Amino acid sequence: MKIIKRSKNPKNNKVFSQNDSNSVPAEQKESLAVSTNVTENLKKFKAFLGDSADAVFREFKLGMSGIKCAIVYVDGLTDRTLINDHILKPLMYQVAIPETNTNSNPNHHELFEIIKSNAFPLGDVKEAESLDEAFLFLMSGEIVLIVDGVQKFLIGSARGWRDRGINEPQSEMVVRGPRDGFTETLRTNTALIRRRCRDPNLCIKTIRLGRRGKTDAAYIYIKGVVAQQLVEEVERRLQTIDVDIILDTGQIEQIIQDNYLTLFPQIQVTERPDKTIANLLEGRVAIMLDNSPFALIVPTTFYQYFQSPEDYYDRWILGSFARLLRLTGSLLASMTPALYIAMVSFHPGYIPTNLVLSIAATRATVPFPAFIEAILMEITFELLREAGARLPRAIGQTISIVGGLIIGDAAVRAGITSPIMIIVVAITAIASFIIPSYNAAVAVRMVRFPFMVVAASFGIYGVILFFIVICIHLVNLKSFGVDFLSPQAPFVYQDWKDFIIRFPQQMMKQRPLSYYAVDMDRRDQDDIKGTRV
Amino acid sequence: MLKKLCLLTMMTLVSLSLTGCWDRTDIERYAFILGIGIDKGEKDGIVVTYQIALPQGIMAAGQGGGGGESTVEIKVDAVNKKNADQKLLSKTNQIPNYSHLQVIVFGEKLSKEGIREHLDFFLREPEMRHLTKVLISRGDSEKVFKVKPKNGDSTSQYISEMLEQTQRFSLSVPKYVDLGMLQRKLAHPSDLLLSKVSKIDDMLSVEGGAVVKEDKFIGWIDSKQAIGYKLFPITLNRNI
Amino acid sequence: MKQRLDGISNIQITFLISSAITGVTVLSLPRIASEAAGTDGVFVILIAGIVSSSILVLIALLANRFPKDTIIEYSSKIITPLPGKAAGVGLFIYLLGVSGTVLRNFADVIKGFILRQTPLEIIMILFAFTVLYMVLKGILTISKMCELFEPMVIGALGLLIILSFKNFNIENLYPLFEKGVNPYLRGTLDLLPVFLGYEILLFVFPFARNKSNVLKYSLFGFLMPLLMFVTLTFVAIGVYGADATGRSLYPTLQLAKYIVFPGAFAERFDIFFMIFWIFASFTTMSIYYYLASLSITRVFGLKNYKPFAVLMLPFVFMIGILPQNILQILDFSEYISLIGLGVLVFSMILLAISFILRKKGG
Repeated sequence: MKIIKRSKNPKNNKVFSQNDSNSVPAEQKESLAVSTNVTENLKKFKAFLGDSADAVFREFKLGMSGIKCAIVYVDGLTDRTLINDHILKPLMYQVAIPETNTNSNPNHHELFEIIKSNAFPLGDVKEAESLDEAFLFLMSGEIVLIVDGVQKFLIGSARGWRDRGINEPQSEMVVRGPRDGFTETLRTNTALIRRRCRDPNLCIKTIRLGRRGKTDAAYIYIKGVVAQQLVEEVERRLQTIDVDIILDTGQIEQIIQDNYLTLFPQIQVTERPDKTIANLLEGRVAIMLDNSPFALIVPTTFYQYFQSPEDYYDRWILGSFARLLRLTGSLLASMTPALYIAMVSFHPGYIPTNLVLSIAATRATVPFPAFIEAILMEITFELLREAGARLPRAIGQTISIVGGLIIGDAAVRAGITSPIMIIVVAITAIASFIIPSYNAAVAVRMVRFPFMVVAASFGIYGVILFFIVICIHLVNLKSFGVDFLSPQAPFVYQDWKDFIIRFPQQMMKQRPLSYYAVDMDRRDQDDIKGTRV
Repeated sequence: MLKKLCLLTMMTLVSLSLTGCWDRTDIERYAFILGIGIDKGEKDGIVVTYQIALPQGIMAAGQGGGGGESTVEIKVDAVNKKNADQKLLSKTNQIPNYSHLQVIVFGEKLSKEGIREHLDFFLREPEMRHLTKVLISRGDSEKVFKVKPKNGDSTSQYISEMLEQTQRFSLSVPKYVDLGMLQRKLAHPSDLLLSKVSKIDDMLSVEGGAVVKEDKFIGWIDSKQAIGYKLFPITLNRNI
Repeated sequence: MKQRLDGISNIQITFLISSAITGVTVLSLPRIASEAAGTDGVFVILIAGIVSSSILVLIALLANRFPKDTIIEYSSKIITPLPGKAAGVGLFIYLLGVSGTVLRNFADVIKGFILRQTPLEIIMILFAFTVLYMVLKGILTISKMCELFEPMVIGALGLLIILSFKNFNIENLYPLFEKGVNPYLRGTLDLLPVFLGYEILLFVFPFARNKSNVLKYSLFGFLMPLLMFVTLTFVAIGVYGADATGRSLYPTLQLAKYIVFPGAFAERFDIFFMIFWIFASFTTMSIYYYLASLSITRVFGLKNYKPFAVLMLPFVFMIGILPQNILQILDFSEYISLIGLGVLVFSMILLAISFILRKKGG
């Protein structure tokens, strides 16, 4: 009896072909064919688009020739001024019809070509041979021109929708460094990246995701820097995505990551273009999605979650110090409550005498054992934090921290907990904010609960054993073939220049080695030369 | 299938063992013994005085409260220290904890008969800190523990801190001996100079020293001799 | 631009060997040295180390003649299959025995110093399961974990040594050389088992990535513990004197207990040191247990070691439970060390035979 049948390794998933998403039942294929009659085409359009109020159909006659034409576009996705001034106007007023076509039967195809080359002042012009192709373009904000007698459509880009505008990314604020962040429009985001790196080798490839959503996704890399195998693997994994719609890169992340059962994220998420481009130059691939301001960066190592762009913009000592602080902070954030429980409940002999006496004094009135007290306070704090996340920015932050401390103080006075527990919770909370990457911070915060449970059962021995178990797990994770704990294990000397201590710029002359050493072997990592080792 | 089976077994075993927590004792249930005094009792027995910390008293005193005892002394008659420990269990509702022992004081009379066998009990406990200082008191150690320092510290901590700071600044107080040093010296029989504590007018003084020859106390050295001793940096083994 | 990542890298070899050597014996090391030769223990350790490193070189030579096989395979090739398989079983028993001894020794120390009331079995079960978890992940994971932990262990040992200098008394080391040559000979023999750990090269060699570098890097891996051990004995005898060191059960721990971080959070250094010692014991037992499962798999000619790893766990546990008290544990360790020396002798014999009969593996 197999409970979970699906392989947890995305390498084994079947590739989902994009063509399937466009599949339409056969009987409808007939009706999707383009007819030569404008009215009929329009009727088909209207039938397919339903009664959508935002679809606009405009019939008109082409210049002086009297040939019927029509344009179709979706209001809201397009720039009306552009359409009126630059499409309708020239087509209606200014089309120059060659003298040879003044006979009663103008050649519609030639006309089509004339329009395309002389009277359609748009860049990015395409032709569509069937209605469903045309629909896709329509939904992307393009305009469809139907000419009577011609069995194809002319598509032009008239995009113009309202966008949030480029602001500072809320999830990754820096003191020093650029403050632009990605927005929800894919084109704007790729532009931000292009502006920073003018290398013609910067490749931006698109792929469409989702059966119904048909959202545009882009994967970006720098040819010549990235390992070709990595690009192929990214492509392959993206093609396995088979869902209705992808709303945010988070969904992509969960589908393509190596191990979806673990607590720890294996893909980096960022809103910052400068971080993205820096990673691209180190040989990684960025994945972006239309309608999502978050870009994914693969592959990732664990230590990258502790890096912030500021480390590079400031002097090397500051950067190194900041990183050291973050690593210590994350250790504190995950283990402080557990250590408190272990020391207080199991090994009071190891705490300095005065501290022991003061802890014993303050705990004398507390009805719960240290473990229950710790769990209570930690859960309360998590509740506060989660609640604060829903409130508007300014209020939310204040309420979680200040509220936590005030409630803590009240709890001490009520005799429910001891003051030292409040200190422990405060240290944990503050230390967990220090991690720049949100998903890693959540992982570190979550891991402290099992630590507490083990500490309550076996004291420091339990804590150490569980720490070993976590290390084994981390060491075993791979992100797109790269060992998760590089460059510490396996030891890659060169990469240590950017590890905890950030060496001065002058000394970092080579790209990190770990990403070239990408091992894309599909075999189980333990198979060395065919035998299990 | 095998993998699932062993995963299941592992989880069961681990969750069963998680319910145990054999060693978990919360900190407030401990009676922290800060000082032990051993005196000669009747008929070959000893009288052991345990100075147990009352954390709330210590905290209150520390915050300028005053009032409220910071320690409580419990006297036990017994044959030897292990026996005394057993008897202590029946006299307090908390679990004795020796890991914060500051001082061990031997009474004068008992030291004359030999301290080695009593020291042995201390040295064998794995919980013992090696920083516990050993002293010999003039008269009975019981009296020493009855003196309560005015600043609210417990007697044991007071003595311990006194010895530590006189190390550097005072000439008439010889270097103190702690359990760690004793452990090494007792490997071969040797002579020791232990610290001396005496009660003078309701206050404690650690001036001078106590000479111990082959585990028997033989006499005091006063402050002048202590100065002389301290000025010559020679180890005791070669001295007497 | 793709590198072949199959196998254990150079540095991983270094740390693997180093981890296998620094195990539970670190705690009792100074005692063994003092018991054997008093104050001369320091030199005896050095000599034992040099002898062991020469054996290491010979082992590497043997393994190099059969780069693709573990000792299980090439012992069958050198001395006909039947004795070869028997030797394989013997090796398996040795490896399993070491795992069991390490497990029991470790649990004993934990029970004695950290978790007094917890039943021994529970301590052992938890440890054994964690080891099983790691062993099931394979040699690559084990190597990476050794890379991760071993530097910390060496660092902690170094810190212990440095911090103990405060209590160091050079006079405790006099007199030297007063007992003559005899103790040296006996002492070297007694101390050889302390350095056991490098024999894993017999098994691990075929999995290395760059076989030509294995000798160099495993010598590095041997050098680190050697240095640590010599200095450790030196300091231990210096602080406590040869007699006391010879009488104390775990002198290293005593050394750690005596260090004070003034006012720091963990008032006693010993628990800080214990943490890293737990890492060291963990890596040691994992390596040996892994090799035990691997060896029995190869003896049967099979490829997948994982079922054996799971099946052998109760047996290791039983070996761990066998000794009743500390004396029996010490006896047990002695027997296992003797078998270990036997393994070394056996590999020397194999080397000799392979030269004589000119057998070499592709």
